[in-house]
Amino acid sequence: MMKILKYSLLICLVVMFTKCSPDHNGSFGGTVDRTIQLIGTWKIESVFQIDLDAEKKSFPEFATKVDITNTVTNMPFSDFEMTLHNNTISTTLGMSPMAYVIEEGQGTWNWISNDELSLVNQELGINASSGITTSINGKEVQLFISTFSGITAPTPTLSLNYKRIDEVGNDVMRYEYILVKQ
Amino acid sequence: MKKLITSIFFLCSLMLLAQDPIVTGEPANYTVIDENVEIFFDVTNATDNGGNSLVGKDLFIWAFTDVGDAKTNNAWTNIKLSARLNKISDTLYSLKFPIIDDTETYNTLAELFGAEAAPGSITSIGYLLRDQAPTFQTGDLSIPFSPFKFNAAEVRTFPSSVTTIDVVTFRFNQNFSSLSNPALTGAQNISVHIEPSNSSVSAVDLETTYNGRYFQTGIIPARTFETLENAGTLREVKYYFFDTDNPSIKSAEGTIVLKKAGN
Repeated sequence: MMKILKYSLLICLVVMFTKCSPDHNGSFGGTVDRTIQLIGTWKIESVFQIDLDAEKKSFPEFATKVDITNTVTNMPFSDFEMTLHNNTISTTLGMSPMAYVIEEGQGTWNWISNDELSLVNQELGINASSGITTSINGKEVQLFISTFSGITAPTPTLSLNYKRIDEVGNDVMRYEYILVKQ
Repeated sequence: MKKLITSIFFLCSLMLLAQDPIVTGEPANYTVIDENVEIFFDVTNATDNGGNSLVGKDLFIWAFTDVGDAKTNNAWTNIKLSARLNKISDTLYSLKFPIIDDTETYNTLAELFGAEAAPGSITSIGYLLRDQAPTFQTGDLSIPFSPFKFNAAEVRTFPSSVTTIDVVTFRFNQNFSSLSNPALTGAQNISVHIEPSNSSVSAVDLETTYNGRYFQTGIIPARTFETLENAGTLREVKYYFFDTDNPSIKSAEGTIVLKKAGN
């Protein structure tokens, strides 16, 4: 009887320690540094305009989202370039309509807080995972990143969303800029 | 035998008489984003799951959609008082917007179901009527509503809402079934005439390109009509399309209101 008890206790101890041992000794993946991924020079490849009312009503795509990359004669969006460093930014506008969005020159940029992001996601019905605020010549601009999926591609791409509001603060429309890393 | 036939006849009569509540609305056709809607439930011949009449009872609505439940539902055994229907008479009840729910106010069906950011995602609304406890309930029923519908037009601008500093795309639909000027059907080249409502001297004519659906081109109003923008008087533009090779052949006219940008 004592033998049975002894063996049972031994088995229990072995099982307990086996259960508690780690599956492997390898390290877990480190946190992705999004700042490092953003650093570099980005140039606009294409631009889409989104009708917020049509989007809310689930209208067909042709009535909701329009490619305006080459819509305005002699004003190519592809003239726009921005270079991001750790927390500084510089922009070149050329003839791009981006002149109506962001200033040309040098300034700073910061990540947008999560609280602000959830509010914008709720208002715009998008699911931005992140966003940045740029400040150039005293003008602040918020750009929302809907996905980081293209940022690790061989030719990294970045999707930035910009919300236009009217003079009383109502949402008017959204632009989606697709930028390619140079 | 006679009793059995009488019972069957009686049951059949009950089944024929028993109906679901008749649902109507004011206005008659409403979407999920319309405000001040009132939805009526005529329970004259309606019964609960036990076959008992709903007439004169204190009725609550438990509502649900394919994107979420009504915020007034709460828990099945603890439904909110804001889910109580207005009793207009013993046979007529209503759900009237806005609905006050503690500190919240729901102005539309979309807000009631928490779908105000994407109301188009609501494709069906289900409900059942019950008492507060509940000691009785109806089966699952549905509330009809008008779906959003994109209406084709001969001329339009994109997007529907713009400021003076945004890109505005002017679109002509040559395949529109009721063209105001059928002579445009055969036009190979289409141009657009754009003119600020308060300054015909600033008008511009631009050629369009065909994208497989529309003849279209775009401008940034503040750029095209810079003088008016700088003077703060650029508020509205009128436009029409015409056959580039025969400018007297014109489309219907459109107008777009330009907002002042806040950022």
